[in-house]
Amino acid sequence: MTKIEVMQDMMEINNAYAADNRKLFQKKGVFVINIMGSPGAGKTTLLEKLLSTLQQHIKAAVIEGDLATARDAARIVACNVPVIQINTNGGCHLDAKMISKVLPGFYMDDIDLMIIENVGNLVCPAAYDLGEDMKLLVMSIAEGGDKPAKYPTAFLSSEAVVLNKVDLMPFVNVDIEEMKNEILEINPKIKIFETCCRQGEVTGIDDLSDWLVEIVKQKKQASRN
Amino acid sequence: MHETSLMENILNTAEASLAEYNVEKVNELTVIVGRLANIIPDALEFAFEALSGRTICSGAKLTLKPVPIEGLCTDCGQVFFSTEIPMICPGCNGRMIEITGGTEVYLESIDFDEADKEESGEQQ
Repeated sequence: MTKIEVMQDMMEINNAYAADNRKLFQKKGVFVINIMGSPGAGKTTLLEKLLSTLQQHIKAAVIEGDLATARDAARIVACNVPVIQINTNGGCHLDAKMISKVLPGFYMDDIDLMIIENVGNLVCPAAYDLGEDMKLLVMSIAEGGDKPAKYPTAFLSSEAVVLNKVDLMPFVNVDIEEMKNEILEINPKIKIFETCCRQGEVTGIDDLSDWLVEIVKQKKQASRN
Repeated sequence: MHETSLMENILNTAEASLAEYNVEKVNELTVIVGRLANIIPDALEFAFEALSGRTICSGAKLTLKPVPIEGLCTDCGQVFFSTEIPMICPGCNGRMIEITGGTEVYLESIDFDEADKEESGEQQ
């Protein structure tokens, strides 16, 4: 019987691509957000609203990840933002290699913020580093307060969580303060935003936008120095 | 559900690691799985069953070694291990914990029988 020690990291290939992506973003002073959330949490609608506010301050670009179709990309194109769609053809997450493949399609010198909308899924995307500066979680309040405890990796690895569809409060059996406590129980450092993206009743987007603009400018400044 | 692609990686890595040996039979693959790796052991075992048949690892046993989450308390600086979320510092009961390990998936070791060495004319 022979035994050999291998000790090979199974995420090594992904992590190597992620490091390359990160290096390129760093060089160009581009801040990168990886947006995660369940299907139907409202990621794309939030992006539509957020982009129109962000664009008054910074230049954004978007990578749209989906199992199939270019529907989300078409919605983002309508916001007048450079966008590239990645279809994973059934794959449950984006990986760093998929990102590196599409990056040459962007004119990086003209981008302050790259937003990557991951495949709708609370599990696998959390395990794949794409080279981002931070992960942002979008969760609709209708998903229920037990999600942080059930999907701890997603909440632990995110810098902020957006509680979306707060307009549904009167119709769902959810105590939003309790929900926030559950989130902070898992990750006491996480920032929490509340938004509603329903046409005509949009709230909370300015707070989120202000926060993002500030950190994006910080990175731009740091890359110039 | 990325266990299938991870298992492909594991099997490819095993094959590459064994290339320099005259393998008769692979007995066991040991894989380290961090508690925060978002891996379902059953799904990884299923992927192993489904994919290993065509490889050098056919018939081997898959052993998964769970490893705990490693945290650094940003209040008192203590490094500690835990199997549970939320992480609480055993030193100061602090809650501001930076996760420093527990998301890893490693192929740790391979246990195998070599074909008769004399016959192959090789000496280890």
